[in-house]
Amino acid sequence: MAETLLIVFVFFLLLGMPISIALGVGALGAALVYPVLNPIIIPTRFVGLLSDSFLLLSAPLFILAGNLAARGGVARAIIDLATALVGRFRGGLAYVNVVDSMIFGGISGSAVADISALGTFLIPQMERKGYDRDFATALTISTAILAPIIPPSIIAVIYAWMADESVAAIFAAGYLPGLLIAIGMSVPVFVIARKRNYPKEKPPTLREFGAVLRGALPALMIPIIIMGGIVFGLFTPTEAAAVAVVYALVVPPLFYKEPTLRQLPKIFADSARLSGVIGLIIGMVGSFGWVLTYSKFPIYVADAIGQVAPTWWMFMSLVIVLYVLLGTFLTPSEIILVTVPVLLPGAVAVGIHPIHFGMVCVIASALGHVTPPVGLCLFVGMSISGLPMEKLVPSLLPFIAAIIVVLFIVAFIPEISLYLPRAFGFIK
Amino acid sequence: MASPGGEAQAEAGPAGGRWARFYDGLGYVAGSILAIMAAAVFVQVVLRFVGRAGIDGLEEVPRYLFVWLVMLGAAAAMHRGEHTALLYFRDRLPPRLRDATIILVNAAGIAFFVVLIKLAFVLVPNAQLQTSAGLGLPLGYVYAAVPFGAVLMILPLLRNLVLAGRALWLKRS
Repeated sequence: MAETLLIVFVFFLLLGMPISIALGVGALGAALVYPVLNPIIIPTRFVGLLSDSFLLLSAPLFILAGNLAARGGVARAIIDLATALVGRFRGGLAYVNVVDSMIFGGISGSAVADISALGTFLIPQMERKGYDRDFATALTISTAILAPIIPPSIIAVIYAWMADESVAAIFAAGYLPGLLIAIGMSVPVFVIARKRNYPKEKPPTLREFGAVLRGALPALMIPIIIMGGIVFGLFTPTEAAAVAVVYALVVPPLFYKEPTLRQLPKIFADSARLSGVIGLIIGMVGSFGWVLTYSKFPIYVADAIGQVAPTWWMFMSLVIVLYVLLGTFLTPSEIILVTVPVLLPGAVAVGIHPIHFGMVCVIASALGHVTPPVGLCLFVGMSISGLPMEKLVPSLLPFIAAIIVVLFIVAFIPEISLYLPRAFGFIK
Repeated sequence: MASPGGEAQAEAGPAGGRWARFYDGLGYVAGSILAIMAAAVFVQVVLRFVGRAGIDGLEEVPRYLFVWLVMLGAAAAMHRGEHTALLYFRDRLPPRLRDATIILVNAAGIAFFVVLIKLAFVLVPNAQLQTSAGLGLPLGYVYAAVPFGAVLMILPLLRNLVLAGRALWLKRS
């Protein structure tokens, strides 16, 4: 049963069918071959999955909040703040690129919003100051993956929902790995900036720093409201997302003149279409995952993996390799939605904490945004810089390598992911 | 937004003005639904903070609207070719085989949504007999989003299919 489902799904996926439809067609194919499956599970699971969970609503609301906040004014204020913080070092703007993505990651949960908002300013600015365009673009593409790792994160919401874990816990889990990845990406920056003698920025006076910080404060309030509200139990993640939407509608226009009233219909429509794309996949995973579970497929997989990778760290390594391979073609939320129901029981069986596993899944799948030949961040970076993929890939490699090294560190040291959720009391 | 599926639109050529207006309008309708969802969740938070009891069933509003948001948003995205698809292999096929693949994939997609519509004839009337716990809303109104969205998603698929069919026909003669 699972074989029919997977063969039909993979067949149409490889032929270029949108993944959401291919999931449904796979389930329908299995229902045609096995009369015990009633195809009515497809629409019932679809509506059931989408409408039963208040938690899941945080995904479209965080998409909307991110798109509202990811405008020029906020991006510029954050770039100014990052420049004041780390611009003074050799290759200053490259570190700025890393730091502003960390801050922006706290505002938006999607890597694509990050690169479109920051890249359009930073890439030309870096080029003007003498940085190579391929280096500037590759760095901007790579740092964008901090957005789905540092909370809030759309991928983390989807993982938590699939794994039936606390969103607050997986959000809190993202800070330290995010910080490590930022440090990891600074290593190639340090080496390359010395070798090519990239410029430094003027360090700010205390007064200038104060002005820049004040300018960024309205934007910085967004992560503080979201995570502060969740950590102190003021609101649930879904409510936090709605509060962030209202904040992004009211406050940034006062300080940065954006978003303007005229931009709003397009921002709402863009967010609605993206929610539709992700939601259709989520709904179709309903029957797809149901057939897999019904045919006990995850148990077979867990057994099979148990044979090949009997220890938890071998299991983790296997998952990372699988995710990096899938990430060359699929987007992060797709990878999470298709693989977590199959892999999570195996992970738990070898003793991996679901939050730790989730963090590794989030980082490993987010890497898929960057890796060629198919990656949304890569595509946006190509279109902003006008560089072809062949030009960008060599410059991307050191950063991808840095991320993978950190990914293995996060995978092998559970405390990096589990320390903060424990400290906040979200998990035992 | 750039997406691997975005190429589908380019290959189909500029969309007809009337269709584009209709599907972009659909995007704005979906955007309004998203706005109502955000407002409903926000109102709930505000009511709790001012110490008022929540409105009964308010929590159901965004959950059920989400189904409609997904179906309408997905249809609007389908018209623009924004659904992520793996086009890497397809685009490396020889032109005629590629057209044939597009026809097969879109035909299968259409067949799938037709099945969903057929199933809805059973499902929606049945769901109409159940009501939601909070609002007392007959659930048929929620389930109706499935056939409604399916019809809207078939049209762009049909268009892809016809365009590829025409291209294949022209290349043959």
